[in-house]
Amino acid sequence: MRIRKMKKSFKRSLWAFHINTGSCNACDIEILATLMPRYDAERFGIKLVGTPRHADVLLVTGPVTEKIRDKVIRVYEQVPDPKLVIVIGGCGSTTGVYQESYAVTGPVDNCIPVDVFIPGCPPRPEAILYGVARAWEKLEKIMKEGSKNAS
Amino acid sequence: MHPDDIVARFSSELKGHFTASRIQETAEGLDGSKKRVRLWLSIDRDVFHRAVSLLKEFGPPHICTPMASKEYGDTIELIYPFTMNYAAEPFGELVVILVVDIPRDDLRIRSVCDLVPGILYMERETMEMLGIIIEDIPDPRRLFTPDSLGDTYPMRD
Amino acid sequence: MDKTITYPLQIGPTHPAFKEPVRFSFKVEGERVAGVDIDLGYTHRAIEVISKERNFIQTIYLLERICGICSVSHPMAYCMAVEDASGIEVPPRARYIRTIIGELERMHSHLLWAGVAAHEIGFDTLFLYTWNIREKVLDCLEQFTGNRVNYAMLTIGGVRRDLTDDLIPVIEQTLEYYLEVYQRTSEILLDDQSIRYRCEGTGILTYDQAVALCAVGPTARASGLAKDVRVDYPMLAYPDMDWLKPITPLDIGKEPAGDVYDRMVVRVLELKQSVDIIRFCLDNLPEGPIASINGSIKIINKLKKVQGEGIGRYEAPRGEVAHYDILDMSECPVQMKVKAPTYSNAFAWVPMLQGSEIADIPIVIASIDPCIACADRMTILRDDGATETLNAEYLHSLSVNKMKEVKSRCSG
Repeated sequence: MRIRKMKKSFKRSLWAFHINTGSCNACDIEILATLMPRYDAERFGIKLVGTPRHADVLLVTGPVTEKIRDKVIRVYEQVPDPKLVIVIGGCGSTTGVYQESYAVTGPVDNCIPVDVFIPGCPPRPEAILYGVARAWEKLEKIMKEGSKNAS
Repeated sequence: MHPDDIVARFSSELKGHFTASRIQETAEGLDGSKKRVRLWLSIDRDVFHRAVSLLKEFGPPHICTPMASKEYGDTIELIYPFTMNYAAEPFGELVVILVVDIPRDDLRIRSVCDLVPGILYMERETMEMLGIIIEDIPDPRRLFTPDSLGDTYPMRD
Repeated sequence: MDKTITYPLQIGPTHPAFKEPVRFSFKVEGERVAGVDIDLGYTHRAIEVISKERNFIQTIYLLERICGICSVSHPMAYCMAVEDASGIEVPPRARYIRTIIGELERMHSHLLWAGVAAHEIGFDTLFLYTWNIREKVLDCLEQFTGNRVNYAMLTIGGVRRDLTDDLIPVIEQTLEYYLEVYQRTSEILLDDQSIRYRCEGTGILTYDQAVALCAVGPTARASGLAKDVRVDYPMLAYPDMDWLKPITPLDIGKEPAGDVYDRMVVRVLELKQSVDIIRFCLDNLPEGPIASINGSIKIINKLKKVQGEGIGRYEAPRGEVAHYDILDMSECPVQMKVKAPTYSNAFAWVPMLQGSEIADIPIVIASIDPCIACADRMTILRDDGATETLNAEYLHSLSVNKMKEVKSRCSG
């Protein structure tokens, strides 16, 4: 069922920009592992890009430290609409083990709107793929509604 | 290099400013033949720079962790863990821990960046985390913490 | 007439590292780097401060999350520091199991590094190749510990899960696989002409600089400073291995130059060394219990009655990890100071980057293995105040173009 839905939504490739807001790198290497030959997210056209201005999706990891907060907001503003934010990992979703820290101002939805949370410390590559697919559906929906409103 | 040599050199050179030493040895390995040696040396603040240069006579000291601290009443104890005699003989490394008491009403200590250049980050961290002023430090800026922290020192009790 | 323009160049600040993410401010003259300044602290999460409010067992899992790649090294150093302070014994079997996990982690980390380094010089085929063979050791770790990244294997006084008999063939198969692919991998990484051209003579750190700046790990060893905590400081199963030696470029008969290529040599040879160490541990695995105290509550109750301080050191894939713990009759550590390897090595970036080309910046920064997931955004500030953004793609394309140039020169 889901596969059929996914097929329907794969109209164009999805470009993602990854921003680390103070994570421990575990989620970051799992994102890379998702793109590698074993899981091969690139066969769906999912690609990491080097600048937020080319991206459809923002992948955010980490609990948002105080020093980086402004930069996260700035990167979010640079992503063109329609855009989605996916939070990867437990600390981005809830600040996880880093709660009570004076240097952490997260979780991520404290500073930018979030569409999909992928829990896990770190989430497995399969979970990341699934989360991205869910986000994709949402993006297609937004675009469809957008074009309806325009016409 | 034997820890006793360092203790002897310290007590002859620093005299009254060298207050205590403690050697701890632990046997390691299945047959217990290898020794893990740690040496604690308590010295006065005034001779701290001199003490590190004495240590340097035995070989280049390597700073092992950032400075830890313990607080008692009106003093703060600052702990400098160095390691010596690395890359020389197998399992011959010696951990030398210098312990310095600093009075709470005069939180200053001299920088040893000129002797061990690699210590700069640890000294910068000590300044922002504990509020201890490192004198003659080549780069006194903050290292980790945001400027908004102001005069709060997170590692103090 | 001198037409070289001097301008500042910034990398960062969303530059992920473990405890010490970095923003670089360069002073650039034409294509050459003339000055470097490093700004740390963007992912400062105050782990040392929060640990004051977590008990000894909770702290282990907090420390596992200092760095997702060294997720065994930090708890290992911490457990050794607490054991050192309290005198808790670790049974021999637990020491061997700890060693095996640590070495498996080293293998995955070095393969990860090799891939990232290849990516930085624009050799993406090699990036995919090394990350693909890295999945094998992750599978092994997953079967062994139940997780791909944060293993939760260590506890104070031992390990939490035993190495059962049915797991031994799994690890042996993994080692067998790596011995098979080692030949090919090392040939690509060490003999490929374009890699040699990009890495030799780039980012040099001399022996004296390595000593003075307290460099650690493969970075120090590549400069000829044969410093390896596993050999220098007796701990875990390493004292039983008399054949163990720190690896320097001398092992392939090369005088250490301290450049990026030498760091590559050290890491590639360490892959083989890790296989040998794990083989030794499996052959000599002692029988007996895997922990001296069973149960977290008992451990905390024992540590509550301890006053003292201890130091724990371990050789992580990137270099020395050291923890200094102070215990004072409480169920939380009174103070815990952590040093991650990049903390020491970050300083070494300054002499390495001095005088290098802009196109070489990514590989030099990556060469100390600081967890470069992305050298993500650079801004050039011109004197007239206009700001131009140099993003990672551009930086990467600079590097890739240099690679193409090199290739045409190699074949031509």
